[in-house]
Amino acid sequence: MSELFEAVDALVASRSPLPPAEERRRLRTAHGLTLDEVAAALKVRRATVSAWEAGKTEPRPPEREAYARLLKQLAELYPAPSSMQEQAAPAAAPTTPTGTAARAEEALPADPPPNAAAPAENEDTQPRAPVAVAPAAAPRPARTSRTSSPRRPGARKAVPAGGTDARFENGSLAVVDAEDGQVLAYCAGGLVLDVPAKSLPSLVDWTLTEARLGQPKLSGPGKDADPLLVLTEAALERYGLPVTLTDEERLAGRIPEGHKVIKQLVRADWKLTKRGFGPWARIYRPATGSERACVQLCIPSWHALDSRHWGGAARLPQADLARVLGVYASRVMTPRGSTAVTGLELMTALHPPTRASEPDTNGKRHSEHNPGSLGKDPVDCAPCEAPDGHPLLANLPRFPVRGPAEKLFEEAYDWARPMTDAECMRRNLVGIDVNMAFAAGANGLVVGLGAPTQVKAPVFDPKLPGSWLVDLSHVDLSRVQVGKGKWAELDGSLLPSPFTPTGERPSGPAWYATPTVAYAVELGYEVRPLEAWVRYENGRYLDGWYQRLRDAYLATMADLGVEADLSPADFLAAMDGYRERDPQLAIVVSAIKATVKGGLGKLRERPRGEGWRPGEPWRALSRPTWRPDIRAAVISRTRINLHRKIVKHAAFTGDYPVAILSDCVVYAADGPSPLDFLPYRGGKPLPGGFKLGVNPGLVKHEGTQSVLWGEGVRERFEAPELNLARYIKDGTVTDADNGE
Amino acid sequence: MSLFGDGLDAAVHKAFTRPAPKSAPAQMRYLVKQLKGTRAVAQMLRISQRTVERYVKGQIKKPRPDLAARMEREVKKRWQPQIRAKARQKAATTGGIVIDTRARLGYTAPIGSTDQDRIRHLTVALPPQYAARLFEAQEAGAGDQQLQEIAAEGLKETYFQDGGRRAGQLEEVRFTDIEHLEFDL
Repeated sequence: MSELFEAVDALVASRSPLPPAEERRRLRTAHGLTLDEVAAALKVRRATVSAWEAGKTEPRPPEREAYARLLKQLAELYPAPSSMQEQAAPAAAPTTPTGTAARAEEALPADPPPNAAAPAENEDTQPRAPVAVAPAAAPRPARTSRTSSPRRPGARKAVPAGGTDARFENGSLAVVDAEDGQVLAYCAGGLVLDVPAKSLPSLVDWTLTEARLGQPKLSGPGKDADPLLVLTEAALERYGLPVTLTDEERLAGRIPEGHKVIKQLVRADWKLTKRGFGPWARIYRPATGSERACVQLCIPSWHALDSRHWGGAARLPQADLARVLGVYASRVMTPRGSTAVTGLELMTALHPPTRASEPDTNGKRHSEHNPGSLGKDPVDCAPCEAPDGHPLLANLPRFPVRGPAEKLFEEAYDWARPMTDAECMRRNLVGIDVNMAFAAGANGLVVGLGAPTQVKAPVFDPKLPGSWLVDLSHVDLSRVQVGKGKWAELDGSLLPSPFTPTGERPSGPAWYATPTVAYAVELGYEVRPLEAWVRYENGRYLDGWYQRLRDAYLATMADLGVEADLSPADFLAAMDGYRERDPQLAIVVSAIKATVKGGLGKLRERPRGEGWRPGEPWRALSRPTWRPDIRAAVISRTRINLHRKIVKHAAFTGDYPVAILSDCVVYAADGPSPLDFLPYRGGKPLPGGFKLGVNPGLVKHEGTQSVLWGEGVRERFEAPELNLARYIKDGTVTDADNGE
Repeated sequence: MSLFGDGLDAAVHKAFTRPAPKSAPAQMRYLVKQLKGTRAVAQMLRISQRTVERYVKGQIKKPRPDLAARMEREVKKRWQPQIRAKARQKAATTGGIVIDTRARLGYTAPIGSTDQDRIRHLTVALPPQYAARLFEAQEAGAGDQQLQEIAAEGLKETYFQDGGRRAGQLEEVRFTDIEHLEFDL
């Protein structure tokens, strides 16, 4: 008889009810159990448990009974919240429809299941989840397995996850890591996906078909950003890639063509861009129609993330790295390479060169020029704007180098002067620094879009972007117009000239960008250009770029506790040590700043290697975004904006700067704080002068040193015009001439 | 061996109007002709006189890599002296010299600014006076260190200070960790 009873028991056990696949995982993680522990207890392989939890396979006796027992006990300890219960109801038949029901629940912005929110392995990421684009991404259970679930049915699309694109619900990027044989993808929102891919081609396939990674396009005619995969060292090893590059590979910026992984990719019909397989490889198949198939890789251990801009991001744990890059991607754009490249790509993404035309008579659309963009073909700059060695100058002798009357020289300030006696009597030197000065200079700036036109003896038009050959040596800073018909008497010898980066007064005709010449007019002086290269086709090309970067900067600074509407004293207090409040977001801030600086720098990229010789074209010249005139206009406007503030400040207070370096200005003051010399009346700053705040264009405190220090270093190095702004931050002056 | 010296030589060699002999026997014949005898060649290349003769007759055609390098060096040193002198002269008076380098370049301070030293890849045309100084120093038998200092000075003036139009600094330009260096006339 007992034999029969056993048989009956076994029959019952063979159909032991189990919760649905997703619930199994929730219960295990809620109790802090790993797959290995469960597998060891049930004496099965780990992959088997993983498959049960993924719903790929169903447990069979004799493990089924034990597994059911385990889950039953766990379910008593961690009862499912209401939303989970509903889905648990039809769980008797854990077939395909459950998956969709479960995920529909999950996407709703309902309260997260309390236990699922903080599984042991993900403690770091969850509390900070709100930084992600999709608020719905946070309350998800930490590790769901989507890889095996069926394609999403149409009805699911009706519930967009927190307003983001359903195609890209997992964010724009994932950090791929391998842990004892299993590959995991850490997404920006704290979500962790299982990656079934066993080779790089299948990883690319998985990313494009199942990972739901990407970023919607930034402008109408643009393209969606391709998903970004960040490969950790373990993942590199897992996919057969070198963990670090040899010296030779590092110099070439790529691994050799014959590498096994490249062959795998070629066999699977994937292509690499001309850059080859380097730290920022792009793997693609030619687009069919509007369907893109491209994955961008980022390999930190191959120096993809420059420590000057990304700090220690390359050494962060996977989830933290995903967060840093995810915040950057959601606020700026998915990184496309170094910060400089991303800055440039952001310009293109906001103003793609082409768009689809209206349908013609056959109802077919064609590619046409996108107004407001720089077009898809590069245009030559004016000869005066071309840097030395440009093909336009091939007929000129290489030396002597061109002077100001032949070459446009718009650069940031590097100026200093000896201190006056009155200033030496003061106690401190206070440096203030303009926030994102160059981004602020790009705001609302009208720049040329097309090719330049040469005009002889033109009438100056401040609205026409271009370069003007004009004599500004007659502008005397001792008497300048500071308002409509209001003239101010200043001490011109204490002010830098606004027209040259060195602050020296120009001595004859020279080339200037439009904002510089417009400033001469604004100061109340007449200008008579001799010649000009102007661009009649123009627009506010950088507006959108500025706004996106400004919003990114302000949002990140606000997360760091520096809000935009603080009073000056609160702002100074908030800025003090803001980097320590969240070192990861501080990395994002530094990357955003580098994006601004690098993006503008790329507009005039100079030749690098490749056997270039003066007079020959170099690679960057074939980009439509190689535009030295736009860079000159931005820098010119930034310098002029700064000078305007200095003049307003001097006219009101009678204080003059001691040194200027780019966007940092040093004044002598009695107290150590910027508030000791910035005129604030009832909390209101001087109109048109310096204002403390976090917004681009407003100023922050750079550093304070004593006047004695300033005099001391100038004496010690016998350099009466040593630029103190360069050293004001920490006061250390280094000198290589010490014979060491 | 000597990074800068070889780089300068290679730049000058690009001016050759006729290719220098490439095969080992041709190179050896040229050297024997130049040095007027096999004994001098043998001493210079540190091989036996008989080996030189074998090369000359074409009985040996493929030298070991180190001997091949020595032979090529000695041939190039003597090939087309007028053309080389003219190329140097031109660089030192009008043409200047293009330096293409990937190295740690920049000033020591301040940290985080544009001019801070970091690995940069620069391709810069140095003015003739620097070309002249480089060639003079090389002829005077200067070491790599001295040539490097001259190049750093040239880069400081042309690249970092843009022909003296950016304000000067206290420091010399750091020019270290050279990964790649190439000169071109």
